Amino acid sequence: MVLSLLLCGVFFFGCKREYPNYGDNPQTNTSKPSINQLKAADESDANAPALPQGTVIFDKAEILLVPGEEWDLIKTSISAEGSSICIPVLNGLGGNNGAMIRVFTTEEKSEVETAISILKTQVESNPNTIKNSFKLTEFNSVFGVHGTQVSYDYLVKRFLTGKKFRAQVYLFQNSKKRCVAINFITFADKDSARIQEMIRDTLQLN
Amino acid sequence: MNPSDEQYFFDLATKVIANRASDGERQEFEALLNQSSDHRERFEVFKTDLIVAKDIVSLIDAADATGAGLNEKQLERLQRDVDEASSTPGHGKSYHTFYLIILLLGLLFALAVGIFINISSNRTLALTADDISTPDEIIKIVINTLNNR
Repeated sequence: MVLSLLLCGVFFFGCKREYPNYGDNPQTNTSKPSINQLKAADESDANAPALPQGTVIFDKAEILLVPGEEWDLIKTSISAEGSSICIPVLNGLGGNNGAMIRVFTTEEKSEVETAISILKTQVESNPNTIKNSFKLTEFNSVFGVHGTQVSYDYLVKRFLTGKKFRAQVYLFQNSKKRCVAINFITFADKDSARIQEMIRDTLQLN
Repeated sequence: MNPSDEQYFFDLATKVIANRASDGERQEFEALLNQSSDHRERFEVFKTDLIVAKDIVSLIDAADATGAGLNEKQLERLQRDVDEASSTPGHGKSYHTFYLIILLLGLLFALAVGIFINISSNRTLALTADDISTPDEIIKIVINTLNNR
């Protein structure tokens, strides 16, 4: 019985959840502005055109999305400096639980085709990715953003089994011809059609 | 039952088991057994012991006769007889079996709890740092490579 209790303890602590630090710096302070707060900040600029309710602006990438409710906005202000990540990070809640959207951008002008080529090489050489899961499709957002959607699956080892995830990367150029990547991650078996639709329906260059 | 009565009871029992009791002695013995459930119980235990002892003695006789000792099969049989004779609660084979079952049940319970927690953690939909590390690493390499061109 003692052995059983010990095993229970090992299982419990072995399976203890790790909460991610979404920034690159372990000492990052995360603040979570609500969508309304962002909206209020946007509305303070009287000259700016009116934006839809719940618009999230990724300043560095110069794009915006309207993700709707059930998203936690994580602002990693310290780690974002000098990093390719664009704040905020969108972390799914409620119906979007298990989904995450992160935006990255290059510092200079870059071609989407070059990005796809590097991405393909990296996906195919990464030991955690699933072979032959790399897929490319063209996409056009309702607001005229044209690019390529890359999709691939990867495995994360968890206790007795592995869990399969799907990464979808929307690659396109912003108004300054910098390459922007919207990295949308979720469980491979989770229906992500609604979120993908949201990206295509609301993605705009700012 | 006083000691002399007890001795008489076992003498009769021995004769009955050995089929050497007369009709009168057999009837008397039946009457003794019917007198008390304790008598019947003691007779059953005595009969079992005697059968086991007879079995063991026959094995030892066989070994003495051949002069080669007991072979593996005979030793196994002897061990089984001894185990059966000593299988009382708190001692012997049944005691070990009981604790073995408890241990196995404990292990099964621990395994079930582990599997349950694992399934729960897989169903917990919030992504962890581990979950995003692969695509994070890949996209950062892509962006850094583009930046360094």
